[in-house]
Amino acid sequence: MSVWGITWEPAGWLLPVVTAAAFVGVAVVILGRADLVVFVAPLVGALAGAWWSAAPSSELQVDAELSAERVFQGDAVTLQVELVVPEGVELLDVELDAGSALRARPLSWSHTRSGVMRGLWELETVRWGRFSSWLRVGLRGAGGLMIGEASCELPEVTAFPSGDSLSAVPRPMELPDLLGVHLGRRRGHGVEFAGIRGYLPGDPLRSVNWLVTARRGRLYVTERLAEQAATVVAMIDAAGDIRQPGGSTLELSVHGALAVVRASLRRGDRAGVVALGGVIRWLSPDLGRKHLYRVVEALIDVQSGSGAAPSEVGSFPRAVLPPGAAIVVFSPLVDERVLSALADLRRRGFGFAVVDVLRVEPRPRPGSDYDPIAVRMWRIGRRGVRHRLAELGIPVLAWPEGAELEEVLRPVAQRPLLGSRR
Amino acid sequence: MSTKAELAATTEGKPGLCLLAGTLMLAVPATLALVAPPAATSSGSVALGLVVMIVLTVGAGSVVAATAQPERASVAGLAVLCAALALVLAPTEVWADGLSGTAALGFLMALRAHAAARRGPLDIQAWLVARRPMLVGAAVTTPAALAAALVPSAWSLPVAGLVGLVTAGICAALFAG
Repeated sequence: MSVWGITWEPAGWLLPVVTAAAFVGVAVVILGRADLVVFVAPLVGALAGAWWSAAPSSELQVDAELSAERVFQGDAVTLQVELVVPEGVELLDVELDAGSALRARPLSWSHTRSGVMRGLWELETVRWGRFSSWLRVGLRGAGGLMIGEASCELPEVTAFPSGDSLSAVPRPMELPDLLGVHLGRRRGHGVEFAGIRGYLPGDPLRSVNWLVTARRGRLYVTERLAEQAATVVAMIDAAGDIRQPGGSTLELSVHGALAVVRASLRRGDRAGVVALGGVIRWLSPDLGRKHLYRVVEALIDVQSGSGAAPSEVGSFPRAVLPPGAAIVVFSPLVDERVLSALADLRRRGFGFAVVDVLRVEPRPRPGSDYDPIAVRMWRIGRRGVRHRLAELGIPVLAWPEGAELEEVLRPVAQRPLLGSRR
Repeated sequence: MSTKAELAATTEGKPGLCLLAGTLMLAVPATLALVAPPAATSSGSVALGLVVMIVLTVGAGSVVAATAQPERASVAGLAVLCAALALVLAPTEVWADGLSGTAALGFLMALRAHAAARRGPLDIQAWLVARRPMLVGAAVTTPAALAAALVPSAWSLPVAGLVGLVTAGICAALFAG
């Protein structure tokens, strides 16, 4: 149970009523009806008595509890608040300020025992992040002479982003020497047939292909393709955030990045997440469910703007962007620094695909002569950006409203992403 | 997003107390006007009687409206104002003024109790204890004002002070015990 301060001030009606009463009193005396003072005497006495004792408690005890402090975006939690109203103080109203990211719906409000009020709200998380809400309580004390207000901070709700379910994510052409599920070009201890060659000292006897050996008269062995793990990095363009129907560009980027990381980790690959611009923790690629939770935690803190994360690829440590990693970039492709970073990535030999998360375009103002021309120029500029990236061999995939990320990524998930040889 | 909890209208409250106190508050000037009307010799007195009737009707309407919506302080204020105006128009009677004033205080406090009871269960005894300073204040000033009005004007101030002191002493002795 936490204790919050109540700010008291004289009730708004007090000054006009006292002034009017004084005028009436003077008028009554002037009219010669001083006996009417007897009429107002009880009221004046009560007022004076209330004012004499006008020291209502300045502490409000609040006990707030959430049914769950960590939920996924779109889930709802129940907030239960118990207010211990001080003696002699009346509760006027209770307002829950949940901000724009939480949708609050009052469920019930009841008296549990003397002086204790209990309220229940349902909070639905509209977007991911950490959100605080405030309870603003209006009170009346000292027989109505004082109006008080208390603001109480309620427990924080952490909403994790929810990502689409993907069955396939892009993988690089060059697979690192790690045990996994992808068939690379390297020969090794897999099950997939790669070829036949002559026996060399050291080859295990079980790899001898006895049919070919019997036909050729000397020992031949069957070569198999190694099963390797891929490294996938989801890159978020957090340099800006553009509001649009179906989720802002940053929201879409975070959802997409989480979906890619989750699908990669489920496949047994190493996955990481980085951001260009904005604020985020870098997470170098790793394996396992624990790493997924680390990624989810990191994504909660993504913020747009020129934050701590660099906007140049060269600034990232090698462990965060390991050579040969497949990179899936989620970007609205409007920031020139990000476009330069993408070109830089390509020059460094990374194989990657860009998902364009911008779904809207500027709308001309009605009656404006030049706006339609500006919009046309903007469209031409967008086409130019896509052309520039296409010339560099970077596939750009649009993510229109209503489309699943699965269908968006399908063209690049069916074959490995090409990077330049190093 | 900001959401206000619905605090009001959980129970019916205590409208009977408000109506009783409001009726008493208006009944005093009404009785005065009926029992001791102004001398009915001129047409002015008829008009005065009509005005008193109108004022009392408005007051009665305000009492009912304030009981229906106890949170609206302005309607309650109008009811008390009507009672005061009716007393101004009615013949002078100190005891009646005191009674009506006490009823007005009772009406205002009953309205507050009614509003509190509508928000949830109300323990009347605890509620009155919380408002003890108001009751003590009224208990001190009313007899003092009454005594001051009853004695000649030259003695009114010392008598009022003395009565006030005595009442305050009695209240202090009562509540200290």
